[in-house]
Amino acid sequence: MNRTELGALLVAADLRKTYGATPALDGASIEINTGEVVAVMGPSGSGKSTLLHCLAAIVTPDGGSVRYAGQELSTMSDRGRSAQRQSDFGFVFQFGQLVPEPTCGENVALPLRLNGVRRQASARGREWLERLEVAELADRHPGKVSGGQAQRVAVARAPAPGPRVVFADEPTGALDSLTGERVMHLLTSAARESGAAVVLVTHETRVAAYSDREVVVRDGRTPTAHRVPAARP
Amino acid sequence: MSHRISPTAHRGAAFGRVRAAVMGARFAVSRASWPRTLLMVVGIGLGTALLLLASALPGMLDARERRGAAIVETASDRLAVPGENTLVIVYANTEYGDRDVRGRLVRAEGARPPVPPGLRALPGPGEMAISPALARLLEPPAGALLRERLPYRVVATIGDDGLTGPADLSYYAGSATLTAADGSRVDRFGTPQASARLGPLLTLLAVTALVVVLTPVAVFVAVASRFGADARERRLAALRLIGADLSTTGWIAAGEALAAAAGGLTAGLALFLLGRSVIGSVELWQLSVFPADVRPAPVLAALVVTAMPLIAVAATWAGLRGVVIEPLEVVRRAPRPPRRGWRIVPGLTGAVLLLTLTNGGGTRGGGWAPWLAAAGIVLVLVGLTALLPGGVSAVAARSGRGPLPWLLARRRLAADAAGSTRLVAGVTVAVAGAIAVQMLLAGLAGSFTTQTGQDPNRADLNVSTTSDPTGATALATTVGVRSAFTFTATSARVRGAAGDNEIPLVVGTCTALREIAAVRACTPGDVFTVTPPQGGPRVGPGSVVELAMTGRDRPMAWTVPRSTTEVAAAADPVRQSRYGLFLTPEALGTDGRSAAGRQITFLRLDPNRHDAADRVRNAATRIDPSASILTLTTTRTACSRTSAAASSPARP
Ligand SMILES: Nc1ncnc2c1ncn2[C@@H]1O[C@H](COP(=O)(O)OP(=O)(O)OP(=O)(O)O)[C@@H](O)[C@H]1O
Ligand SMILES: [Mg+2]
Repeated sequence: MNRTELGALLVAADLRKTYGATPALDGASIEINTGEVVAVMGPSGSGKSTLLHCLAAIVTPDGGSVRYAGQELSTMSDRGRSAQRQSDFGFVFQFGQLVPEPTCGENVALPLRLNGVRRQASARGREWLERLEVAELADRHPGKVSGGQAQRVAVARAPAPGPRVVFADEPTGALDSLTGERVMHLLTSAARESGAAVVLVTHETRVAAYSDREVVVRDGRTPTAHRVPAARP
Repeated sequence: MSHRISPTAHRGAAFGRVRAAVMGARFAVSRASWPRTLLMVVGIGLGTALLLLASALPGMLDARERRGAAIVETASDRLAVPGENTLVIVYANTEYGDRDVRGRLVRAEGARPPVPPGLRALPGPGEMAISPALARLLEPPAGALLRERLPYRVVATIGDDGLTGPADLSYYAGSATLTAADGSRVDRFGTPQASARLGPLLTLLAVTALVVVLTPVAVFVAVASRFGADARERRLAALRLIGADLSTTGWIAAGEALAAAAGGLTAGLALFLLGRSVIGSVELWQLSVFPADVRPAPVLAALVVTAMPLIAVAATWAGLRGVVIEPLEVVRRAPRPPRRGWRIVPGLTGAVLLLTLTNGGGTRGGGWAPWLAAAGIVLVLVGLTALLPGGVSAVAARSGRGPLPWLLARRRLAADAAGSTRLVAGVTVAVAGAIAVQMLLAGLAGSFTTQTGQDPNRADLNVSTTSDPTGATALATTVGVRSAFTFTATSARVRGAAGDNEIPLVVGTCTALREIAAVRACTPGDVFTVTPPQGGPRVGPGSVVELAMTGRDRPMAWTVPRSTTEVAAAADPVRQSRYGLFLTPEALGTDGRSAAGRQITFLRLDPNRHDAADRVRNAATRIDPSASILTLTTTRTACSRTSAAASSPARP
């Protein structure tokens, strides 16, 4: 392993992904360093979400490589990718990521439970809800809270198990601007505290302002992508 | 490449599966899922209870047979003389309303008589021991007439050991005067038990009934498991996102199914126990079962208990096979090309099987016939269930245009026929199955029902007692009797005849003789003969016969008069044709004595008096406690006449 690889936690090169006839990614490249917050920006339909999914081992690209901590994710088995997501990644999406049956508190504890943490799972779940200032939602079910509240629960869940990368796709899309900023602040500070990198897809510059740098995606490509020499301390 | 080892892999795959299953079980009882879980619990519970009951059936029959065998009175080889351990027993079965009562009159001949099961001691003279059900039946006012017939002092209750079921009506009454000539001499109770086995028709019925009941239950469970499947798949997708791999989601789903199965097993067991506790008060065709006799066969019960969860998990996994659950999305696999050909196979096979069996008149296949028939019925039912969803979606896809609601409904049906139509299929199968069971029951009744040949239009009751001159009047004047005729049936020895020299002899009024032989012109003092069809001693004018008379030790000699008329035989109301000598009482002389023999009375009752029959039975029992009383019916079902129905031992 060389120095660059030590710094660059997640390296994607020349990613290609086609849905039917539509090329969603057409040679996109990106590098994420340990602990940095990267905003992925671009017009609608440009391939931001697809890029994020490839990076997060949710979607297997048709071509190119995704290396995480020195391992090739794009050719890994489902079991290996699942294990990777479980142990190292956290997710905040626009919707659909909370499990409807358990309470919000249990939802935050779920990744911990999947990891085999049993006794402290609930306590840590509550702790994170408190940090996101939605402790009162702990005993309510995701279906019984507002979209914004659900979003904050999801934001609380992402850093709870201590991931090394948090993937966020339009995390403030459902929130008013004031709440959006508050949530962004809480998310980035939580990530910084634990040393987790954040890949943040957004088209709001206000949100992108919380990032260390921006990567623009256009027509499935990343024209402005460039290597950042060193990670922030 | 440095492989990071995930915590799951680290702690072992089995541990991860258990954790996933536990998580799934918690989902199953969560607020959003419990309606579906409850449906599955109900379905699995019903199925479990039914299967447990079915597995208890052989044991039930066996216990019944064992109990029946234990109370049979038995004689050792030589019991010509009374002994310390002998008992005279006379059948005194009776009917009350439409219920059969098993009755035995007993008299100990020595100090150590055998005691029937369920009793601690024999009832003494004038005493009786009765079954709990008979005790309830005897309660006034409903049981007043029966109490009159069984006037003995109740000294004991027959225990369960002495009954075949809790609803058995049974009594043992003590007598001081019975002799072996009245019945039989026995020295023990119980015979070796014949092994209880379901007859072929009953097997067929049981198997079909079980399938008929289980198919809708299975369909119900299948539908319940599809109920809310979308939500479940979305949940699994959400779990995939945070790192559950495909095997983990499978085990989570399995955990849900297992929780439902566990609930279902518990419910089924509770239902079974509940059913067992109430089964003691259920009576079908005068058959009842002791709860203690309803014991599932251990092997079968274990099979049910292990198979239920396995089937639940297998069904869940089969359901998940059609979908790919990716993080963030659920992809339904493209429907397989419509290869529905195989669906026709079970139905067709079943139909062919049934047709072959029916054409053979039910004799083809030998001992396998019922099993083949059951298989045929099952295959047809299963074939229906398999064929219906495909058929419906095919029809839905092809049917033409229509209003919007129709179009939407059609779309839905065409897209997901399996889900909604399975329900319809379940109902169809239940109905078809019910019809099959109905037909089987009819067939069964047919095979157990025999034409008696009796003519209820000519008489309602036939009473046979020891001869008693006042008896006939007592019967004829009983409240509710419209008309009656009586005759004495006995036999006489033909003097001078070699070999078989006994000839039947009947003494009765002209009215009575007209009913039992082709007698037309008749005045008191007339004598008729009916030539026996199969030969035997013949008598004619001048023949001398000897016959037993009441109140005389020695038989009386009597000469057949010159005026004797030869007549043809005719069937009496119970279709018995008599032959021999037919005498009016006056032909025997008028010294007040009458011929000794069985006094047979046919009675017609007032249909408006529902208790008339029981009043006659009481009157008959007063004349002769072991009187045999027959209710005339055109048909008789073997099923309803069990051990209690055996008639009195034949007597001269
Ligand atoms: N599952 C899919 N099936 C088919 N096409 C898809 C799928 N996901 C994405 N696409 C297509 O790929 C292209 C990129 O989509 P993607 O969702 O990555 O865009 P995006 O940049 O996230 O857009 P937005 O800002 O609107 O979320 C689009 O043309 C989209 O239609
Ligand atoms: Mg997007």
